[in-house]
Amino acid sequence: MADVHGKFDDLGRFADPSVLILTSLSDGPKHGYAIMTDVAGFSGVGMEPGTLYGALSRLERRGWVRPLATEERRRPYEITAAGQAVLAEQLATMQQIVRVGRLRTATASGI
Amino acid sequence: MRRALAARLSRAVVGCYPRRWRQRYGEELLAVLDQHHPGVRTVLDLGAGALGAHLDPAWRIDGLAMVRRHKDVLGIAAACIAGLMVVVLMVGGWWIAGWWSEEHGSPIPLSQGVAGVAFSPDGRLAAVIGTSLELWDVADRAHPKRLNYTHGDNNVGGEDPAFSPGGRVLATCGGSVTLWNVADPARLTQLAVLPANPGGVNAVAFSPDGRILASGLGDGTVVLWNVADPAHATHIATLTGQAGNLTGLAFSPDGHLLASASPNGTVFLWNVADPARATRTATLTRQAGGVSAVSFSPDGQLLASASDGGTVVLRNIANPAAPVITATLRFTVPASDFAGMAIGPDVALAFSADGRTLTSIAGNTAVTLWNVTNPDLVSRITTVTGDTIGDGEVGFAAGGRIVAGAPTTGDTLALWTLP
Repeated sequence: MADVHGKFDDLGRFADPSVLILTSLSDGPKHGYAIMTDVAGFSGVGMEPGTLYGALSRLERRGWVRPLATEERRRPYEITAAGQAVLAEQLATMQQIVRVGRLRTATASGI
Repeated sequence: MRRALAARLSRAVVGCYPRRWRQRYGEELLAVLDQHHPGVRTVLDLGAGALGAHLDPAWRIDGLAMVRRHKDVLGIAAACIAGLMVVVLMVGGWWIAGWWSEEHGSPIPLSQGVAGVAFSPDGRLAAVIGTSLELWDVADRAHPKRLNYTHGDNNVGGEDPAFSPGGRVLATCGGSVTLWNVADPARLTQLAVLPANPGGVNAVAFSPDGRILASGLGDGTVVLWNVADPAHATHIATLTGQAGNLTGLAFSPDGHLLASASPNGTVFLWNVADPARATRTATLTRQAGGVSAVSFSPDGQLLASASDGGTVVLRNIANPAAPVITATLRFTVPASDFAGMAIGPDVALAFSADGRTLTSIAGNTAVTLWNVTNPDLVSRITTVTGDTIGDGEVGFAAGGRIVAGAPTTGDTLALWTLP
């Protein structure tokens, strides 16, 4: 898994949008605009098309998402098994950050 | 018009992506742009995406063979891209400035953070508390001008100041109340510093006739001052019994009642018709969260209190000894629950001059307008959402029609005019 982790870090500024996109695709394939509205809905992050496609092209190249057949100019994407694995890994890391963050802020404020 | 320009620019920037990239993603990206509402961010974001794709070896492969043969082509291409980016950034910069002042009024740049804000009764002057007291001419909402500011250590504390009803005197919080002559904002002078109070002063309010100043202290005490002659203010009474750091104070329009709000969720109603013998007429509880804003309707029949828990409680105070809750309104509070620590956002309330509309705001993400024509049947008129995220300072002017908001971490104050 360390290898996958390293590959994820290579995404640079597309790492955070990638987590959002993979999360969005976890409950089924979506096309570009549907991903943007879904991400805004569950996270409040207003992702712009340039960032979306910058991240999508990288995810596709790594084999973490797969393009489906175009429907009226719009192309849906679906998450792959490898994408699900890397997402689970990233979510575990985030959970660890949340856990430590909560613990330390609680200690600092004396709760 | 700017939207149309943004849509055209967005499409133009898609054309700047590498050819192979466009062959693969161009059509679906344009389809997304058809549904999206492009803004200046969209254009700049696409510009960054195009540059990133040009720098990405994966999309350059087909060009490399050619470049090997014509090395100078790479130089020319790089110069073209750099030139294009400069143009995009310049247009973007000019456009951001125009867009910002069009939609928000110009932001007021401040030395360091905003801790409090108040508008003069005519709405032309804003007093902003940052590291010092700053006076701004906001008559032209799109072009605020700083008129004056105080220097050095001047005991100005970080909570909302208050203008006297005549607009000539300003009271600021701090270790004690400071009164300022703001009749001529260009010549801001200190009139008096009232005796210091333990726990500091966190709220100030003038009576409607401007003769009494109420100050709310950090230990829950309210102190009444005679400020008929602001340069020689005298102590009238000290009202005790409430706990918590008092941050909300309001006089009723006839000046007979004073409401004080506490973070412990209580509002005390005081009879101050005879301020030297002020008495508590009612203790209002049962509001979840800390109450930090109170406001009387113009006819004096209603008292609204807003809590950082996201509720506005509306009470009929026709009988001040027995207020009756007529409505409990819920509004959105920005996510401020940072890592389990509840940090309440600043909340503010204002009735319109005709008493038909109540405006509430928490933090500066969403402003909600309520129709309170019938206090028993209150309805939400609209919620206006701003794009400044956070739980910063907020304030109102002109019966709630002008909203000022500053993010907690920011150093600007934005002005909105409500519909």
